[in-house]
Amino acid sequence: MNQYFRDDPIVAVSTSTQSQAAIGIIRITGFKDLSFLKPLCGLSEVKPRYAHYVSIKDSENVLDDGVLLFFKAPHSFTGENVIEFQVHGNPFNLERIISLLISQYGFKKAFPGEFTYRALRNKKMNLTQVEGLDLLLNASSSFGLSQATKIMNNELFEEYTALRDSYISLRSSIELAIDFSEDVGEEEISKLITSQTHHIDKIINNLFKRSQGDINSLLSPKIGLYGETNAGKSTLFNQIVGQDRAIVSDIHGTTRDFVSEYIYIDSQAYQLIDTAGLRVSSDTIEQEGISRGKRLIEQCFLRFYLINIKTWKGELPSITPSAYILTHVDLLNDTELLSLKSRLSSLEQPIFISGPMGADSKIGPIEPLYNKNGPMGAGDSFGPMGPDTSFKFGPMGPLLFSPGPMGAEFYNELGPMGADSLKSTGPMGPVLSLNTLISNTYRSKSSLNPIPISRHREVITDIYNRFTHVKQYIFNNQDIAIISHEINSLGIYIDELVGITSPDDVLDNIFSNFCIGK
Amino acid sequence: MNDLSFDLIVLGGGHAGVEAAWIAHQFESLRVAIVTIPEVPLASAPCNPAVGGVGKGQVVRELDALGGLMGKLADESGIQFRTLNESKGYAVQSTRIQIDKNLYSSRAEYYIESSNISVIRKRVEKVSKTGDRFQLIADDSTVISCSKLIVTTGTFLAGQMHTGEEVTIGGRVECRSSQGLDSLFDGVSKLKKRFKTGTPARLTRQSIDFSQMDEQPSDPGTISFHFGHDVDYRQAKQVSCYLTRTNDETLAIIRENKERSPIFNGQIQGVGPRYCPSIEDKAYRYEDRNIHHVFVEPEGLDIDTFYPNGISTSLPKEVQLDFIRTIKGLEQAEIAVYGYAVEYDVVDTLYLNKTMEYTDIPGLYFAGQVCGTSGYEEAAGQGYIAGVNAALSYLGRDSLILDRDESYIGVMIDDLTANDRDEPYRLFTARAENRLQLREDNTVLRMAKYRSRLSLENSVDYYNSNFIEAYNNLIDIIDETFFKESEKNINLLSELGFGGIKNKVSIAEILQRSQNNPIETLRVLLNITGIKIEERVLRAAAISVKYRGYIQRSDADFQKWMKLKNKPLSWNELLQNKNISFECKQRIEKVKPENFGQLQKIKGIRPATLAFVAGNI
Ligand SMILES: Cc1cc2nc3c(=O)[nH]c(=O)nc-3n(C[C@H](O)[C@H](O)[C@H](O)COP(=O)(O)OP(=O)(O)OC[C@H]3O[C@@H](n4cnc5c(N)ncnc54)[C@H](O)[C@@H]3O)c2cc1C
Ligand SMILES: Nc1nc2c(ncn2[C@@H]2O[C@H](COP(=O)(O)OP(=O)(O)OP(=O)(O)O)[C@@H](O)[C@H]2O)c(=O)[nH]1
Ligand SMILES: [Mg+2]
Repeated sequence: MNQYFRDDPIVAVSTSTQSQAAIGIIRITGFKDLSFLKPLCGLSEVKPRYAHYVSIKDSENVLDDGVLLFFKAPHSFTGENVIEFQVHGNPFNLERIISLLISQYGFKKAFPGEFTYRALRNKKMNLTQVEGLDLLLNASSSFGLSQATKIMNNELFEEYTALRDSYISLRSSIELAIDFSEDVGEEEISKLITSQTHHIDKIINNLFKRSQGDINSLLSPKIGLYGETNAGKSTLFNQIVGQDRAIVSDIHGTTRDFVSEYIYIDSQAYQLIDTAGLRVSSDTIEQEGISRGKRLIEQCFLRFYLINIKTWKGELPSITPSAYILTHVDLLNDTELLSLKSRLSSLEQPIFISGPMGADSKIGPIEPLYNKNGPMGAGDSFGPMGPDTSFKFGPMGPLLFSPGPMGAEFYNELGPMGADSLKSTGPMGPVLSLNTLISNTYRSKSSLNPIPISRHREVITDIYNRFTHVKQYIFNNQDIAIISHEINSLGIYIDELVGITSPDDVLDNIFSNFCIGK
Repeated sequence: MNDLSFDLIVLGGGHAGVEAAWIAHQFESLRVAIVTIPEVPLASAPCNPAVGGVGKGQVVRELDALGGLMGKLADESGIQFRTLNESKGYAVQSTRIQIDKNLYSSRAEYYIESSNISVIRKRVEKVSKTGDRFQLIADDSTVISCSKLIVTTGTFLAGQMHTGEEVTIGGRVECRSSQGLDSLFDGVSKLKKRFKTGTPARLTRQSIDFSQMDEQPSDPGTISFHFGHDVDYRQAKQVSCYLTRTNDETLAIIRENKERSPIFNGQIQGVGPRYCPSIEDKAYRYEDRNIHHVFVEPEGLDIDTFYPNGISTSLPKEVQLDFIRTIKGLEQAEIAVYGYAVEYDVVDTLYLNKTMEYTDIPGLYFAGQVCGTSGYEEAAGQGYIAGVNAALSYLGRDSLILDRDESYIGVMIDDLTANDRDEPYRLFTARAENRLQLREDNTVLRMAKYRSRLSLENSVDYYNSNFIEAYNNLIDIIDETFFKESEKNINLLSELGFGGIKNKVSIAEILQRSQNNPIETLRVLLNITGIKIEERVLRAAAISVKYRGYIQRSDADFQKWMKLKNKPLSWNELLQNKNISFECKQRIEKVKPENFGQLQKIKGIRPATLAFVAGNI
């Protein structure tokens, strides 16, 4: 961390240097006077927040033409003087200009995150905001972006200081009980402590809830398809992504390693993953593919287990799925269809059906079920599955009925849907219902407003555990010296959450995530 | 008077002064004198006639283990003994002794007079320094000189008393005051704001109806302060204190007379003690609270007056009588002496170093209420530190500084010399970080090493080393005596209600079980083994073992916290920093924090600033 404690003027490319972009931005900060601009680009006077068109010269050679923007201290990102050069984005060009600034004008190459560090140092940002910026720069989901923006706007910091305030009140009351109970009276103090304990308990519980759960699935959500070989995973994968991405064949074990593609549902990106079919194999490479697939499936925010219903003997996966998708349903005969209900009765998760490819349907219609089982009149208000609400499967159940044929559980997980949109959609195809399941799950997870910064999540968990402990002490009327002792060490963690913490403990960790130029 | 030149003079014979002289005279070669106003008896108690209290009891015991006098005086004049916070856990339990205030002073007079300390009863008008000696000029023009001077003038410097509209000059009731700090010394910096403290009216015994109040008898189980006394030492006759309460009517009268209250109407400019508020403060600050405790305490066995603790006031005389008579049991109360507030000059303690020496004037020390503290124990604690260090410095020896993690005296000195004094300082346990360790029971363990550095070899030194040896032996017994899982042992422990045995269990484990009272449990177990142990040692060991687990568990947290707290910082640089608000800078400039812990303690520093500074050191 000590490397950051310097005041030199620093320089870095602030845009991506990976590709040949049209424009690249070079940023400098920490210089005290502007006299270098005269030899560098012929400017003897520079106006803050004004676009100057300049030629950057290495003595008489013009290196590049570009736009110069000056932000005068303290009204800049770092709080120090900042200049941004917008020049042509060729990485070689950028490198040439930077070398010039370093060799001729005394600039130092910035360390990763050093610009942000200076903003922190100059109180332009607090630690939480820095962490928010980190998230903003690296988020790959709309959730991540919007959380990051909130953090940058200080919302989280304010919640933490509110926690700190209520902590300080509780601590004071406990001190009051020790040092001044003669003056104030036992009863009054114990009432005060009880109500303050409840108050802070609520705050901590709320933060704790928000710090639990798998945040990665919200920051970069993955959806996995798994199942035995030849279940039809690759077929379904191709149908959903809309291209022939994975190889499909009737040979068992066609997919050896996982295949993934981004799909967009309600403008949120998800990574859809097709994995190697599960089977006992003596092929070590296939085995490796299978175990990689399993690990991936475990990380998925939603995972669908595909069942080839024609060959299925009732085996269930060891990793619990979010839902089952039945394939090869088109191959069932009438008797098999009628016994389907009882065959599936042991499945607890929702069930979707994927049919064979039709000309105009991605996953395929579900006619077989309509025709054979459902009272399919056009205006039938019950929809495809009929009034038999105990029957667990059927593509659209949960959307049409409430609590619906899938049972209350599934309905709850999806959250109440607007009745209008449902009716107008009518009996939907499974693609649509699958999408709805996905985006609703995503939305309900993100509506818990989880805290996306892992340092905070860890500290909050510490706070929660310690407080749970202390709370017990308080309510059991234990030795108040010990209560106060525990409360004091709780304060260390609360301070840490607010950012009152030793720099070497956290800063290294945070800034190690930053790229140079940030 | 023959020779009026001394090695060390203590100016002021209050609690600070007596303690300073007492430790200094133990260095036998030193010629020590107390110079004090004739009408004020030594170690007199102008306010609450009690010694000890939460946090303060610890100070008294610390003094006792360091060879101080206060514990002995309190024991000998104690008329009601109590253990405060008795139900709350050992670390926060403190002893409080109600004293007969005349007896207390006369015991102090006795010990000082029978020692080789000279007592000169004169009021000093001017102090000056020539070369490295101080000259004290008394009001009868006598000149007294010394090389080390300890100033313990209490509330007397430019003292001014208020009772309603009446303003009189004096350090306390019926006593003269002293010159202001400026006229007494040249070149000593005083606080711009004066401080103020107050005391309630004293009531006559026969006018009080004690049957209307809750009686609080003396507690025979409370352990006496002085190491040389039996734990249940009681010299004077034991009497009771009484508890009553204010009510709606009381507070209504006080609020109606708000405009006549000197602290409210601007007549008093001084800042009062937040933690010892007057009844006016309580009335105006807590609008919705009308019930406040009033402890009615005897001032002595042969003294006719009672001290109503909790209603200190400077309201006009007739208002005092009116509101007091609304209180249950005090309906017929007669006032012997009216309550008053006193305002006085305070030295700026930021100029003192940790030996209480004034940095710019070597050889000059301050201690006691003149340093902006309130309370006898605080005064005595500082008196000891100033006295011992003035003596050590005279002898050319290393100074003695108590660590704040090891003593309340250390906490206090550290707070006084590192922080801005913007209100009277009172010691309480929340000021200590290491409260689980700073207990009354283990005082000797904490203080012995400091005392032994003085190489004085008095009875206290023998007591301390015997104590530590006995303690260490007992801890070995506690840790190494096991009850094996035998039928006999299982029955024994279960009959005693001490819990079960799996495989084997040590005495330490039994003491740590939450249902067991460690002291009683240890006593019983030692009885079984037939070992006899002094009660004070037994308590120290039992309680130490009880807390051991917690102290160890939190060590990691503590380290983490200390790491940040001890991070040095340059306050000068903070003042240059454009990101710190003007207001915060002003506070920083006054206190000049040298590490993050000190910065954190400054009042009114926002969390954002703390986070910012933490991130940059
Ligand atoms: C009215 C009043 C109310 C108080 N209320 C409280 C309270 O509510 N709570 C609390 O904790 N404490 C209270 N106290 C404080 C407590 O009494 C003191 O903190 C304690 O006595 C201070 O001890 P000291 O040794 O510093 O000074 P003091 O006990 O005040 O002793 C000062 C000594 O200096 C001597 N002296 C002063 N000037 C001169 C001079 N020029 N020449 C020679 N000798 C001099 C005096 O004779 C006296 O012996 C109160 C004190 C007073 C007076
Ligand atoms: N009739 C019918 N055939 C299907 C259906 N779904 C997949 N198939 C066929 O089943 C065979 C296996 O399909 P894949 O998608 O390769 O199966 P997989 O699960 O990816 O198999 P592995 O990669 O070996 O694990 C192919 O021939 C598909 O055309 C379906 O719903 N109905
Ligand atoms: Mg496949």
